[in-house]
Amino acid sequence: MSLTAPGQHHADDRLDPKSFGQAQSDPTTMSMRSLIDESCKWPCLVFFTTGTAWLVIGSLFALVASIKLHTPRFMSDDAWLTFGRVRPAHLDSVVFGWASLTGIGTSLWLMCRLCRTPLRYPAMLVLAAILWNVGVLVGTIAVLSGHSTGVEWLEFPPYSTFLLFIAFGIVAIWAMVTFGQRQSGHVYVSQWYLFGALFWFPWLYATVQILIIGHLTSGMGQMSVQWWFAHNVLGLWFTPIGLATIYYLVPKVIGRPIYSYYLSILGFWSLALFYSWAGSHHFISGPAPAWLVTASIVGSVMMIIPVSTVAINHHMTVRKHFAVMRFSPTLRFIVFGAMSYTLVSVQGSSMSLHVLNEPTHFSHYTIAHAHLGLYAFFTMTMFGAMYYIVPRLTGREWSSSKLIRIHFWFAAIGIFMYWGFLSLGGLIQGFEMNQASSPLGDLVGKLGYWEGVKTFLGGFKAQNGVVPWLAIVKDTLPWLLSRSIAGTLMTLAHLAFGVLLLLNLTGWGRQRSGPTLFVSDAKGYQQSLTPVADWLVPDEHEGDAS
Amino acid sequence: MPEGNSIPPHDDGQPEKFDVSSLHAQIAREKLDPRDGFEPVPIWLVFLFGILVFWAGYYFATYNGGFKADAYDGSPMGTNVPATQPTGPVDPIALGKKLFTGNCVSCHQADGNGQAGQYPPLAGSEFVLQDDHKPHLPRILLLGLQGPVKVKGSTYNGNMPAFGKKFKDEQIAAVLSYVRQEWGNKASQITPEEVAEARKSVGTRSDPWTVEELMKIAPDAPAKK
Amino acid sequence: MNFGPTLFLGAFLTFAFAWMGLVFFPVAQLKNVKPQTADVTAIENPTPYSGLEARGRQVYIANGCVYCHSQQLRGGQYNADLLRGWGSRRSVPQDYVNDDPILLGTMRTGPDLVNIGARQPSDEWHHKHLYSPQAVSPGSNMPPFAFLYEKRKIVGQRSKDALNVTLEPGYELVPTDDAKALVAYLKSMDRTYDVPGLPAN
Repeated sequence: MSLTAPGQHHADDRLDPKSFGQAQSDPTTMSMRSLIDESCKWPCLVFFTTGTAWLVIGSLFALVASIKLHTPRFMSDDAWLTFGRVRPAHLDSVVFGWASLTGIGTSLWLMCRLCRTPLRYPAMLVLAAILWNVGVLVGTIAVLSGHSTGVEWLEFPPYSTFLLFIAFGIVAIWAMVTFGQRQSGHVYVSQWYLFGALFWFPWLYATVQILIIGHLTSGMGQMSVQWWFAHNVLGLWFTPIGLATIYYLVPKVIGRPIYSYYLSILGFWSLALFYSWAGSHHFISGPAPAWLVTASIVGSVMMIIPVSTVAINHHMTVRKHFAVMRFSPTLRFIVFGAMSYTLVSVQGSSMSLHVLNEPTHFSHYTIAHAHLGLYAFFTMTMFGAMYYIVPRLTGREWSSSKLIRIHFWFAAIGIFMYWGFLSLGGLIQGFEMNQASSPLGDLVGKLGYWEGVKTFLGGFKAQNGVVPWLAIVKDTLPWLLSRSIAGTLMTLAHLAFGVLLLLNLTGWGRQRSGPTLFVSDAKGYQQSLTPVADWLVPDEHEGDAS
Repeated sequence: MPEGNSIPPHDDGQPEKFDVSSLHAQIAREKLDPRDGFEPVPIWLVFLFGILVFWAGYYFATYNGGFKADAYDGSPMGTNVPATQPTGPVDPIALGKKLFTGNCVSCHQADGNGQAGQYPPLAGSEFVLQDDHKPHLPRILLLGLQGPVKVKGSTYNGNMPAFGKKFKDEQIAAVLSYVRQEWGNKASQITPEEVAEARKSVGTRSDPWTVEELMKIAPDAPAKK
Repeated sequence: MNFGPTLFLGAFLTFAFAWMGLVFFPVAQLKNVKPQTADVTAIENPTPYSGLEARGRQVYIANGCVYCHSQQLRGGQYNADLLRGWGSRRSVPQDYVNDDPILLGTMRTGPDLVNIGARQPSDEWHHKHLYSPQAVSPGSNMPPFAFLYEKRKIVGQRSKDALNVTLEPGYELVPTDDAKALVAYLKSMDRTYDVPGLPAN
């Protein structure tokens, strides 16, 4: 059913009450989408496929590194596999390999769809993808062979990073050109975030390469630049792409508008203002001027503003439609990601306060926090995006609902175990490390629970007022082991997804018609999308044409 | 106005025809593109933000250390003065314990039992307790010990490093006094003056001691090697 | 928000604001930190790395030691590090003037190393510990760096570099140049000098 005259722009994008839960497929829009998807096919699929390959590689590095922490003699004969090399190889291959590649792939498709213009110059983008992959490959091999630069998150030597920079330059310029050619008048919130990410990242990367790899700084000044960069990779590259994806796919799958344009504006600008100040929270209590660290603590805590804004916006959009998550893989992964974003950000804001920073800094708690962000938020969101986008590029539905279920549950349970158990292990480690001076311990002690907490956490075996280091190591071992188990689950999930992607690309799997849902109940799916009078309360604004 | 089944022309001015049957099923079932609703910002959220902004201002004003390069983070009010200053004379046993934990436990262990075959114990050690070894203790710490040494019936053949350059006389005296009264050991404290005397008698020597050399030093020998 | 220029300007200004605060001003302010002499016997605190120590630093970087070991001591009211005996004062920017790249570290799977040269001045201990951490610190989860050592047949006399460990008869364990450099670097990690303006604990 066509609700607007053929060819009419959807430029106003205002709330159209008659459109609740119904497919909008006037021929103009449909044909535009088809053209766009067709044009996006090769660049996006190259980014997605190579990204997924890096996910599997990065997961294997992760498993090896994780096992080494509780079984140090595991594969310890080879210099290439020593923990200190495998661990950064893991970080760089999942950050610059998996996450960045799929992030760019998703951004390309989102930009085209939102700008309502087909993807132009696909060959350039495929070239960018190839350069990027070569850069990551060369960089990863360099790290494993002992040629790391020694700067965290920037371990790739300059001869590989310049490839990344060229590739990224191509993508950024393409994005500006595409944005300039947009057919839609209104710029949707996802486009602001994508524009931001694609504009901020090159500046970030160029600055840090010049100042640090170019040896223009040393000592603590370098430390500030280093963590300004590393934290902004999260805040100004991955977070905007993730949020742009959620902002697009949640209303898209459900068929409802985003709750509040005003919250979108507030969320975007407060993120832009505060997030980039948070970098120095990586050396709280460190040998740094107080003003620098205080500024980052303030930035980190003020992130509550954009995070709560976005949380409300997303929640109120999905509200009354959570039932769709039972069916739609896209929505389930995306909502998982969105909720994790809120959780990890609130956790991060809390960790920047001195009283909570002292026991958690330097501990496994921080690692668990990092994975909650990059995996539970960003990776799960990218999975959701790929579940939506890939069938549109290949024209084939996902061939196995069972594999999708395995993927989701293994990943979800895996990251939940990872975060939960490693956080607990990290807290134990942190409290034991700081047992001699613990304002938080004093605080909890005043509440009368400190002895109980200590006993629960295994009792602190203090000698001479401090817990001996090897006792701390011993106490973390069971939690490190549980992280390996969780990581194994996550790796299996990634393999399941890899198989699904392979089957979709090649067409070897079972051919389906209709969306591949978690639960095959097409009627139930439709019902979940359509408001039902007797179990849903109509919106206040229904029927309001303003 | 373009026809219903052709798309608006692009920049190159060529309208393109499409074939409905070539459309993917996925596109046919898609919903409307995302669009904005216009609910107002909840008022309680505005209040929350106001409180946060107020907190931010207060916190930054309090902990900015005057924007000085040497006012470091983590001290109260962003100054570089530690919260607790040591007051009055330092208890040598407490100082000795701290130094021991920071410098000696890796070999001699926190329980003073050392490691079998590698590092000799200090608990119940004749070197630590007996009077004829008393002048040897500062010397061992000043220059280190190498070669075989028999302690409590077992022989150890390691290399104890020197601490003479690193520690002042008060610190060496403190750690020795601590060791002589911990883990069931009961022996008198060693004074900084005794350490100073040992340091003077050692002179410019820098090689670690062997047990044979030490045994040539009598319990009450004055400044003679 | 329909205008590209608004978006661009806003993105530019917010980013530039933080860039000033976290890049420009800290680098400018901390560029002036210099090594100082507090103690009349020392020339410079910290002393620049010797060639061997600098090489050892590269070995430290190449093997990713920074991912388990920090090189900073906290102070003020959060001085658990000092109470643990890792040093007598908190770390200050001056301690890192010779460090490029700075290896402050953000993780302590293992202990802090900024004063390891002071805590552990024994070459022998370092070599044994690097070769097999579990033999020296039972229960340690540090990876063994046996690949930095060469087990070889004794030809004629034992090498004077050979470690004091018992292998099968006729064999000795000798550190490679990388191992010697690394240990030299670790022994140079001694920032226990006094800093003017900071009372020594």
